[in-house]
Amino acid sequence: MLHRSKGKVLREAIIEWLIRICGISAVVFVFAIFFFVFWEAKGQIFSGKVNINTATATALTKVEGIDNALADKIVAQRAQIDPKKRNTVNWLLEEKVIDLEQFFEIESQIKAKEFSFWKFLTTEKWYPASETNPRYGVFALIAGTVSVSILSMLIAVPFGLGSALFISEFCSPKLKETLKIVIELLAAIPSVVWGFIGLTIMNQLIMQIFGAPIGITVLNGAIILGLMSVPIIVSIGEDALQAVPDSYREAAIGLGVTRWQMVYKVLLPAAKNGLLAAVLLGIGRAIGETMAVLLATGHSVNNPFDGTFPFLHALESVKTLTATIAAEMGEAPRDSDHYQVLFIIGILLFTLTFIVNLSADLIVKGIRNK
Amino acid sequence: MVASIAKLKVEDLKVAYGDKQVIHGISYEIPPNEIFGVIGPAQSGKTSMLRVINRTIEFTPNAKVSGKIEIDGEDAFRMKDVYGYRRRIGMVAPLPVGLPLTIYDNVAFAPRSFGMKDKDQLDALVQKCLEQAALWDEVKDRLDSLGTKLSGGQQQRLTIARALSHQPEVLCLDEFSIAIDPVTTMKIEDVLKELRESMTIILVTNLVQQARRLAKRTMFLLNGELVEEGDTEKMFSGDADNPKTNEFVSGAFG
Repeated sequence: MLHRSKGKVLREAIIEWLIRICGISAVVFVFAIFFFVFWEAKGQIFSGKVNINTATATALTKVEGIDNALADKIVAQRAQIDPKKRNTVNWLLEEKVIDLEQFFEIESQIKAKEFSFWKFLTTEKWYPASETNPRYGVFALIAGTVSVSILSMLIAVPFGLGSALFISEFCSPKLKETLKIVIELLAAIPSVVWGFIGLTIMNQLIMQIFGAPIGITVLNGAIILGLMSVPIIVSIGEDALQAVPDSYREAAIGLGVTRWQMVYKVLLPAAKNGLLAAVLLGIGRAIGETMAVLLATGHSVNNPFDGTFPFLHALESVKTLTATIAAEMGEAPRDSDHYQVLFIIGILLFTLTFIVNLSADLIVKGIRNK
Repeated sequence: MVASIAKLKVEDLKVAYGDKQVIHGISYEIPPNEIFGVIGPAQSGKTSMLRVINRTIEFTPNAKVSGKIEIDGEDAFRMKDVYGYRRRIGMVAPLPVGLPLTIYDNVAFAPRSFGMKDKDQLDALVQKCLEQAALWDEVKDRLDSLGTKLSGGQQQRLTIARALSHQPEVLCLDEFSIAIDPVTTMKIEDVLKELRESMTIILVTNLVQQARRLAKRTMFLLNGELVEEGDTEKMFSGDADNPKTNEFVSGAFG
């Protein structure tokens, strides 16, 4: 009988556990980051509600000079005017404010400070640094991110898939090697360098070609982002095409169809999952990219979409979600409203990429089940 | 016998992948409307030879081909319209390759790409090809499902239907019956006997008995060299010219 030595058995067990930990760690990290971002933003998210549950009963008993009858009276009085504002009354009770005029004034201040998620999403006023009346509306920032991403994908997807096809199917082996190396080099350029190119070269070009007053615009950011996404789309797309078995190619070519007919009718359908993944990773990069867009888009709060033709005004400056966080996080005092709102933007970005990934999964599954 | 022009004439064909010579100069002729059997053990160059015949070997970057192939007296390697040329050659690979299209589109792919658009014409052609490949009855109710979802044997018959769809003059079958059960194999063999009326068939097979049943003449390849070529009956009678042939057909090696 042959026995494995105890050392070997132990070693394998350890290796197995290490691998297991590596696998699970990804899940742990995602949850930890998610938790952290939420934790930092919680003050704002729950601000409108924090008093309702906790303070009502205790406030009434703790406040000096207010007996139960008086408290009931105040509550009833306020309830007549605005039944939703019971929390404001609680707060007033804690502060021992009974003067109604003062009460109204303080209430309106609270109202202005109150964080409404709907308002946060739908208004365009982003004045986080205002002394008297800071407002946090991210609609223009979302519009900035979306406009740059869409436009960059319009540039990068045809470009990237086209070159993936060319490299995989149409070029000579020698050229293929060269192109692959060059495209990998393109992926290795740091994003701040891309941003620098946007700020200097593209800026000049756009001003000259389009006669725009300023060149750091949606278009500039989109071109830079597009060029940054191309290497990802090319390398993953090329992998997807290479993964299609050669027997498919030979079978199709053997039928006497042209190369292009083979590519269009056989190769693309066979590789569509991988190609879709390539495109979505490109989109993910476009949404998440920070440094290059910070430098290339002009960084001014502005909604480039409007109802008039051509609907997306590519020659306007915008500010994106990611660039906002990068630029403002350093100046926002810890746990201030501004700080917390920046973390909410983080959650927003999280959600956006999650939606992109989820829809990718669903699309891929849909294709597979067809 | 009238000396007619050969349908397919192969002259001193040599093939190498890089430094590795796989076919060392073989020559043979196949007259029209004949089933020509090719037997030989693995690595004998059978598949490479077929890939030369339909010129898909040109997609293997390091493949070197010399020699000459004539179809109806025309030099196949010099033909400018390589797509038109491939259309004249039907090819069935040993392992079934269902293209990632519906069953219908698999068969209609080639005719469509040559410009056949008429729906009725396509329908009729698809049905005819699937019937010839003994697959029609099994798939006629689900022509819209993916060809790749069929079982291995069904996919193989689908590739046969597909090879017939562009009405080739020469049909190359590379060990087509590997994935097919004996009953279906017999059905397809019957079809091949009918098809012989309208095309020339090269039957590469590992089943020596299959060559015996179908082929008029048979060629025995070994390590890229032509050992013997002759009437099937003689080749399998145990009375072949070359003793290696006798050994192979009697199962002594291979």
